[in-house]
Amino acid sequence: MEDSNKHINQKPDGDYPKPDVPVGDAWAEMKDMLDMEMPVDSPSTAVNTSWIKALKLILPLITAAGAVYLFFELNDKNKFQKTAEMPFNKQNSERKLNPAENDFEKPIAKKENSDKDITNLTKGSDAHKSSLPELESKSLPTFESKKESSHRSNSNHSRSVSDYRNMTKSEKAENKSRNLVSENSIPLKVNPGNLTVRTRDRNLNDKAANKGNLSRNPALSPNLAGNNMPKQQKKEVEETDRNSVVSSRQNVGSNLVKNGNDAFSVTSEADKNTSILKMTHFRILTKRVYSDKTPLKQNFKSIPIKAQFLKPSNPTDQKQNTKALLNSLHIGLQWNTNLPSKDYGRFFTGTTQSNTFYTLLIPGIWIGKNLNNGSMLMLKVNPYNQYFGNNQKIDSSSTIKSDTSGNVTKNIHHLNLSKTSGMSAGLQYVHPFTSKWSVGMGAQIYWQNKALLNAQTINSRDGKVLSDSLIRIGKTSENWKLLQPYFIAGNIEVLYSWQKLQFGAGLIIPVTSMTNAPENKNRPINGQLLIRWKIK
Amino acid sequence: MDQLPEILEGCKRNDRKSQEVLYYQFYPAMFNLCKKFFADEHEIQTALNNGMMKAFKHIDQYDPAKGEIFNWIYTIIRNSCLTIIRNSRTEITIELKENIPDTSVDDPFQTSAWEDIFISLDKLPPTTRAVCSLFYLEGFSIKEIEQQLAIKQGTVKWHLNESRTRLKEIFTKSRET
Repeated sequence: MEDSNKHINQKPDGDYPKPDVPVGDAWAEMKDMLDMEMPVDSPSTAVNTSWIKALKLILPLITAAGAVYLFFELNDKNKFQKTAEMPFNKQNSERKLNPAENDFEKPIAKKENSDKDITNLTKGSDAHKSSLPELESKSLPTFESKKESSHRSNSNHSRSVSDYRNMTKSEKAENKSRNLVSENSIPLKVNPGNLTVRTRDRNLNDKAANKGNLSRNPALSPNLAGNNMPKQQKKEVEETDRNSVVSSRQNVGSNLVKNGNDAFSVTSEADKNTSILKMTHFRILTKRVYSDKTPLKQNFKSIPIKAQFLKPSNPTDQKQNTKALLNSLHIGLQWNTNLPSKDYGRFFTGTTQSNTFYTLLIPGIWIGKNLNNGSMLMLKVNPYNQYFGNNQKIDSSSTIKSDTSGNVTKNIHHLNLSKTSGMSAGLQYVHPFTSKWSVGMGAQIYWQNKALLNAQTINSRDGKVLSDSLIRIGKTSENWKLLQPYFIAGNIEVLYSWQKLQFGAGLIIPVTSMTNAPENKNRPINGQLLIRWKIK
Repeated sequence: MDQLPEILEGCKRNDRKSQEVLYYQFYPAMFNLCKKFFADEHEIQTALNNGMMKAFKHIDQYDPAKGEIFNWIYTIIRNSCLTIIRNSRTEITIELKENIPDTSVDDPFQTSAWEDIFISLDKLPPTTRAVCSLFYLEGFSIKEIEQQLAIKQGTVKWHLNESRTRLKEIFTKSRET
């Protein structure tokens, strides 16, 4: 401020020649500028401008944060899917450890204690405990398959109280004899070791069941099969079953002894001690009953899937997940150059007006994550990028000159956008079509720091170009107000993979205008050539 | 000019009438200033209005204790002219190593009327005109021009030499007087 007096040898009221442009015209233009930049209604324009500037900074940050959030969200979903694909047994075993989670099974257990018949049924059904893993895994698909098959399996495992009461006399008689066999052979606790034998029984049962539309319950097989079997075969089957029961008794006995129970007592006390196992069994039965009436999704409503599934079961799993995530991440460098659709002559002329061929060597960086279907989500950042304006007009004005002889000449001044330079970042989805070819689509944001303009003065009378020059502008330049600080563009590209390299060509189509002119939106399309190198 | 404090207060309130009065007041001097650097009316107008816009925007930063408002606006508009020159410099120039006294010499245009000065300046290419105006009309040193226009000292000297060659007649007259 103190230096402002330096080199000022003029006074406001000095004897100056009459200005070529009348003051009225000049003020009219000035007023327009003032109205645009400093509207009378809002004297705090400076504050507003700073707010907008802050917003312009914040918006890209929010976009980037959103992209990162989506990225991790997607990753979490993958984790969830992986957990959901876990064997059902594994998930069950976790739930078995916490009986409190199985509250929905309690009413059934209570009923079981209050009704003698049900106790019998329970005892009978206990025979399938050991085969639960197999049943569960095999019967899972039937949840949403044929109703008939699920009904059949329900009749095997989950004859409810009402079902039992509704039984016909002959069925009850059958059931009695079945219970006798059950009590004699103690089919309550059968080990998975007997599953081979049972599978064979089941085959026999299937035939019987198909004929008489009866249950496929393996424990009932001798009795049911016995009705239609020849005596010798019946004997064999009974013997086989007895052997299996003896071996199962030994196994279960040893298990119960370990737990401090009498392996051979089929008392209510023993039942209480094994209530957790029963509950587990009933839980599955309950599910099956529901499966007749409600879709699979509703059956799982009562299970806190999210809370349980998303929780890593142990540090090893967590490590594995991290490892899996790292394995699915890729990183690399990319060299890309945009191509103008016209005005090729200034391809190597940088925004500094000098030859800047070396800018092609400046690499960008990309990080990608493999998705389930073999495609990839990619985040790419280019520290230097030039975008061609295709010499589109961004501003124009005219001047009228009159010489001493009274001739009036009108000159038109055009400002055309040659190119801008800055940095860019974008998100892209790459979908492979073959092992070599893939297609990428995405969005990019370009931050403009410098620009190269082409200033032309044309005589309006004969259209003769009077002057044609290049102007470089930066953020401090007056003409910078003609440009937007950033613009958003969509891009599509075709890629060819060769070893660790990808060669591609594509198109970039701006979505927002590169310039500030409200009546003339400049969205020049650029081509693109690129080489991507996968480091990891 | 007696009403200047009120006008400045009005400008601070973004009052259009006050801004208009101030603009009209300084317009001839500022137009003259811009004409030293540009031949084209459009460029003159652009430089002047850009400078005035800056002045209106930051008028609350003006401190009367430190200088006159005219000088403050004059400096802003001159800087606005120099910015345009810096940004639009496309001419090919040669650096000159010859020794030219690094001090401001007498104004060769001192005896000339403004009309004659502008006719002479119109004969010069844009950057040479700017260098010539800064050196002879505004009293800048070569070093200061070097800083203001972001060009090398040798290039400033070349422009001055060029202006002397092209305006030989005026310079000869100046020496004679």
